[in-house]
Amino acid sequence: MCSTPDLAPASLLPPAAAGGVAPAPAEEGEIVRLERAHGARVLRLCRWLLGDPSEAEELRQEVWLRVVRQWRGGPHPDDWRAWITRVAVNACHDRRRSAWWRLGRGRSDDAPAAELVARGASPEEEAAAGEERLRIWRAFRRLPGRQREVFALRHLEGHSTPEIALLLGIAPGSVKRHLFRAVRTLRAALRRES
Amino acid sequence: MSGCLGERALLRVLEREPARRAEAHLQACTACRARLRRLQDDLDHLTAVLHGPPPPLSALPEPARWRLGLPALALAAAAALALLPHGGPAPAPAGTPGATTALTDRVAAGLGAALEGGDAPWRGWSDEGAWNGGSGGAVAAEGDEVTALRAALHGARPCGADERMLFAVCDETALADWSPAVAGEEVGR
Repeated sequence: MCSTPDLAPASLLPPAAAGGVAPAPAEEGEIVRLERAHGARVLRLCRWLLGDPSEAEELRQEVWLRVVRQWRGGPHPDDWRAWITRVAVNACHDRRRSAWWRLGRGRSDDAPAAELVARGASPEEEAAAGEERLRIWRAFRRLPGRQREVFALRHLEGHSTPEIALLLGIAPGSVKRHLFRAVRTLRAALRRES
Repeated sequence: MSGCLGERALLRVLEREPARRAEAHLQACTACRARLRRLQDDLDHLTAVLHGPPPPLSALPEPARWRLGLPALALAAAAALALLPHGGPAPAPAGTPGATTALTDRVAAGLGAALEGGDAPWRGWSDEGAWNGGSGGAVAAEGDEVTALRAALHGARPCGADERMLFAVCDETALADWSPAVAGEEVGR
């Protein structure tokens, strides 16, 4: 698993010396609580949607900046979990689109291949398991963006279909269609012999 | 068994929104129940793998955006190449402005040679007498037509006060629709 520096959202708060208003302890505590509750989830979601650990980390920080701004300036959402998820998904969506203009950008890579297989397995089992995982990840990464978002939100994040429809701003029928296509593609990758 | 459920219907069952008919069928059909279990197992396995650490990015393909983007780029490049002119100047087809210009140039050269040879039917056209309704009047009218034709074809600018010349780049008839851009192109030739 990649090790990313844990950036507490409190460190993202604008310091009083820089012209910002010093955060009240209660406010800071609430934001830290939110980060503890959702930070890892946001990072994981960004990695699923972007596939690049360093970009995911950048976006995680971006998302927390927005959380802090929303906390201080905007109306507080009823459901912070849904709000944060929506911000993260939109940020990933924007990042994927802007990537058109960064064709030459190098990709970071900090996931060691050795961790892909279970410890204690025979070399043959390791090879087979590694091959299957690679096939699944390849298929997942090749999914069109919307299908990847829907699959990640439904099966990896556990949101319901109506919630995903709200988060992505699409019809529930579209969510089901994208989900079905994604599941079919991923199952085909699972069944395919190496 | 006939009427077995498709993958989409099975997925709807897993999503807990099955059609009533599908539920009834599942209770009766062991094959569909087995397929439903397999679908659930596959989803569990996929979820477990994707929750685990990803393989190195070098082992993975670029995200789908590149696969969609490259054909679009190739198509755009092909379209741009098709629109670009190829190689040297191609022979202008008949009826194009280029062909018309070439024709008028040939006519002008022929007329100029005849004028210098002294046997031009409108000899003396530029003389004072010709302009005063002398014997060259009809010829002068013909010359006017040539000048007007040339001006019309070349889009020449109107002549200045002392620019009255037979094959000047200006037009004595002072065309109303004279265009500086076209005239400039002609003058620059």
